[in-house]
Amino acid sequence: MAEVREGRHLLVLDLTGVDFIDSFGLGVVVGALKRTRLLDGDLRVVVPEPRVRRIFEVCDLDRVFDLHATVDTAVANDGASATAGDS
Amino acid sequence: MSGDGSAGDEMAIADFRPGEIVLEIPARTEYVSLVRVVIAAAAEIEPDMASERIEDLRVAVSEATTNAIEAHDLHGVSDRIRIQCNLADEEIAVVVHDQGMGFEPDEVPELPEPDSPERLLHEDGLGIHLMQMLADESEISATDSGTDVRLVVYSSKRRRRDSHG
Repeated sequence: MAEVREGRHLLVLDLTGVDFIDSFGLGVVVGALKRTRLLDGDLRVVVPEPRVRRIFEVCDLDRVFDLHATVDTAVANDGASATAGDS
Repeated sequence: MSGDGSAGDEMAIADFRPGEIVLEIPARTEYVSLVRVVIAAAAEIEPDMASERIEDLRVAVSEATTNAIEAHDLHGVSDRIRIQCNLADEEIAVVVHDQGMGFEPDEVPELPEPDSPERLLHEDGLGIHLMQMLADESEISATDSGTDVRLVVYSSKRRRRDSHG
C-alpha cells in the first residue's frame, strides 16, 4: 500500500503465472482491495488463467474487481498510471 | 497400507476396494497440495469426467482439507485427516473426515451482494461458498468425533441427462 500513500491511485496486481487460487488467496486479494480503497486508491487484477478467473467468478468477485487478461489492458483501461506487482 | 503409525508424518494412501481411494495425511497445510494432486489424478481415471469438473473438485476438496486442518489445529488434535475418494460410473464422491470437534455450517454468514460495500469485509469465509458452488452436491455433517464434508461432482453424461430432465 506504500504506492497508494505515495500518490499512486491505481494498482495492478498481476496474477500471470498463477494457476491455482483458493479462498485464502481470494481473501488476500479482497483485503488488498479494501485497504487500497480506504486510501482512496483502486486495485485492478490481471487474471489470464481461465481456471483462476473462474474461481473469482464463482465468488462473484468479478463484480467486485476489475479483472483483466493482460497488464496492458488493465493499465490502458483509463490511461491512469499504474504499478504492476507480481503475486 | 494406510499407515502403521511407526513414522508420524508420512502420507498414507491405500486402495481398499475397486473405485475407492483413501488418503490419510498429517493435519498440516504442507500436505494440501498433495491432496489436490492425488484427487485430480484419481478423478482422471473416470473417462467421462470433464477437465473443468476435475478442476472444480480439486479446488473444493482443497478447501475442505484446509478447513479440516484448521479444525485440528484449533482444537489441538494430532490425528490424521482422512480423505476418501469413491469413483463411480457417473460421479466422483470425496469425503473429508476431521476430528476437530464439530462445525456448524448454518453459523457461516452469507456473503453480501458484490456491489455492497460490506462485501469487502469478507476476507474470510469464502471456502464454504466455494465448495457449495463448485460441487454438484455438498454436505457438511457433524459426526461423533468431528465433521464430514462430502463433495460430489457428476460426469458429463450424468450432467447432460440431468439437464434434460
